[in-house]
Amino acid sequence: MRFYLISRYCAYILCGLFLTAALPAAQVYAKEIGLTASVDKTEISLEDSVNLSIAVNGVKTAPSPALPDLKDFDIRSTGTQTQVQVINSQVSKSIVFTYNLVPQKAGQLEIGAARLELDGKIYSTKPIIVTVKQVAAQSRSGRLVFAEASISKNKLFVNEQAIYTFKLFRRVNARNINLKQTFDGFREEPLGQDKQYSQVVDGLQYNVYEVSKALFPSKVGVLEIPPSRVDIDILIQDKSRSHSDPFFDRFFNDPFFGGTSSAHKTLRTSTIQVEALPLPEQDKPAGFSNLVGQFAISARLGKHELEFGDSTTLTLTISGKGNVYDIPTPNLDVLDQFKVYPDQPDFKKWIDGKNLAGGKTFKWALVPLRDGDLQVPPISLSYFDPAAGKYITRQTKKISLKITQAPAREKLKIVQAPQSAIAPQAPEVKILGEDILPIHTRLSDFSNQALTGPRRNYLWAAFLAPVFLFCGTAWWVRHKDRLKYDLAFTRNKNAYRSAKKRLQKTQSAGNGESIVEISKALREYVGDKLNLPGAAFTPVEVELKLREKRFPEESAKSMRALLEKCEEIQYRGGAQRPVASDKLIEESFEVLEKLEKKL
Amino acid sequence: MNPRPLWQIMVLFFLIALAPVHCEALDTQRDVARANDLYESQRFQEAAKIYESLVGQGVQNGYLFYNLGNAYYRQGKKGLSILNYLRAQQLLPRNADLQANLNYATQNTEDKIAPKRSGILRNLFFWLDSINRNENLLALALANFLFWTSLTLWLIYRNRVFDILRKTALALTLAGLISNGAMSYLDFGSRNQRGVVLTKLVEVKSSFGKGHVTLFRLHEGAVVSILGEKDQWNQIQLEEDKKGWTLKTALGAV
Repeated sequence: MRFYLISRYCAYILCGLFLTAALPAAQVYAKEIGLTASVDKTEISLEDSVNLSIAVNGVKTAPSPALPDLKDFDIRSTGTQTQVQVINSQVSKSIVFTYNLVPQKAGQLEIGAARLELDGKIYSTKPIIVTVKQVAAQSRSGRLVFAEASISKNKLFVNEQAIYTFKLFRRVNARNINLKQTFDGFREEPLGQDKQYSQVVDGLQYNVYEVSKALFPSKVGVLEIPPSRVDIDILIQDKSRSHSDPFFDRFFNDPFFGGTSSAHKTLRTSTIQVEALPLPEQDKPAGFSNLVGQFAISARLGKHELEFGDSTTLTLTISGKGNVYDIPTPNLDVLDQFKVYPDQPDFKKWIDGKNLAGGKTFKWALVPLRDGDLQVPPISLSYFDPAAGKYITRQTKKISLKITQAPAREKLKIVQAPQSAIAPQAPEVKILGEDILPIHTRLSDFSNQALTGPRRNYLWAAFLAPVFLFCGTAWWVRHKDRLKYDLAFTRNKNAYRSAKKRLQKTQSAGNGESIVEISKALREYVGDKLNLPGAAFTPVEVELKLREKRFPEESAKSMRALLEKCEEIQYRGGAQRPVASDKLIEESFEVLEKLEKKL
Repeated sequence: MNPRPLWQIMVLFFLIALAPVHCEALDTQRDVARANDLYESQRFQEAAKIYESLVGQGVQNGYLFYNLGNAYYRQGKKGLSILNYLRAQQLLPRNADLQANLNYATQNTEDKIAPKRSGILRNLFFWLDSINRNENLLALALANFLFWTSLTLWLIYRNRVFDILRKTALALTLAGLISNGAMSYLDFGSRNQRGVVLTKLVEVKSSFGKGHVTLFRLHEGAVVSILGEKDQWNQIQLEEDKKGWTLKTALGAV
């Protein structure tokens, strides 16, 4: 009971203290209302973005502030944070609205004053100037990510096909890749699936994402293809989380395990100018329908001989490379001979090499209006061939048909069979007795169907074997990927083999440079094993590096001693360098093997 | 000495593992042949004894239960005959001869209660009446194999065909799992067990105990659902919602 009373008094005291502390704090809220704006960077490149934070101080809740006209920026994302700080028993609270601003142009860009109305009073922030620098055109070398665009032709005729290729190069993992392309003044057609492959640029391996489009200028003049813009979040490895073991580095640096931070980039390609020339007026054929490219036309008739009253199908195919969607419906001049029933044309497009190709198939059902010999006249198609620089007209061959008079049809004789003849007679089999069916006698059918003993094991094996196969393959794929992309891992794996090969070569050559070769082989081994650049280490450095990477002290010392011995022999002889003895090479092999075994 | 190639060792291991199954099959076939000869010579009791001994040794075979059912029918033991036909039906669900004999035996019982199987779950998984447990499990194993194999191929090639294949195979594997779960519930679920009356006449009581009211009588060969048990008594239910208690010794569980 006494304990209960003490506890109760303590609770009262604590509540009193809290209220005493809270009351002035509440007054602080009222006194310190303010609106401030800040950015995380004031100098950025056109590829980067800036985070704008607008903090409303001294309030518990606040509406979103009215943003200024940010015409020079794209606002990407927003978020709200509430911050509470207690300093010298004074509680200060602020609500921070964050915006990610992506600059649209280079120069001194102003983020104007944001405004907020609270309790009838208007608060505003100070304008902020952000310097946005142009990205140097030649600065792709060594960059983590960059984009390029190119066009196959800069000078072409109206409606002629040009291939626009956009490539995104990246050396890091990325997500939220968003590509924006506009082609005003052009008709665009996608050219197959987007491609992904690896490419070495300036000695560095990049993953390339390639998008190709067929563009057809729709008007005459100098046209501009605006920059393709790609928004991308690149994932950068946190250096603080790097591990000494390359395997774990690669495994845990997967975005799934965290350890990476994301940075937003907005990449733009350069503007491309294209000159669209008008099609020549000279020799323009009558009925030309703006078809530009290379095309072929063919016609086929279903039946060449038919009876009067029957129909046949005329199939006309126009196919080729160019603005295939503009293939016109040909004029069929046969109405005096046939009644024509047109079918819906069938259009297909495909990729021919790097060009957009396609074809339209037209079908007409032709019903002859008279018998005798009839003809489908040639059907022509005119197009402009930009490669030849002239108009070309192609036409089908004349098709002949023979229409014969139908023989007089036999009159249909309708007869009805008597009902009694049709009705099937029900079988009248008298059942004399019933019995069960006999036993089963095929002995091979009497195997045990119970899933016990070995059968159960086989079943388990059938269930588990593909799982093991998958696990093994997953390991193999990962290993292969690491050998391909993880330079440290590949160097580590190949270190011993390369060093051994080099030592064996030295042993068989036995020339004056052999000591240098041994020394070089050992240093390169250490460099590869520890993924260190170059091979210019002193013996002391080698020992230190090995120890740093937790190699056994004894092995590190052996390596140092061996390297010192090599140096001693190398510099002792002066002009005439001594040849390495077999013993020294054997010793080198031993040290390498020892280091390999200790790994 | 050169090391023996891995594939040779694997084949040897497989043959050694298969040997007991092969020997067991030969023994079973020899006994079945002897029992069949006895049956053909109309020595049905001796034939049934051999068939029963094989069942007692753990041989689970639909044709063995079918022949045993025939042997009992010839002896006039309709209850045991129907019980073995029903056991055979679980292993040979599509066998027409078995279905004919079961129907015939049922029609020759006093109550003529045909073994019907119905219910929402059974209607939903309608195909379970046409396949046996091993076939259901084999289908699951195949779907599982297809899933992991397509997943493996997708991991290597990463193309649309294998992506669609792995998703289809996953759906099949899940369907297989559900199908096997449903079959296990329907075959072994506490309220899904079936029983056959083995005695000439059995009185179904209102509760467990001989002193209780007799609700109705059943004759040899009647097929009932076993709902539960208490001491020496089983609670049973007929298709037409008739429930009651009867002695365990009077029933044979399928």
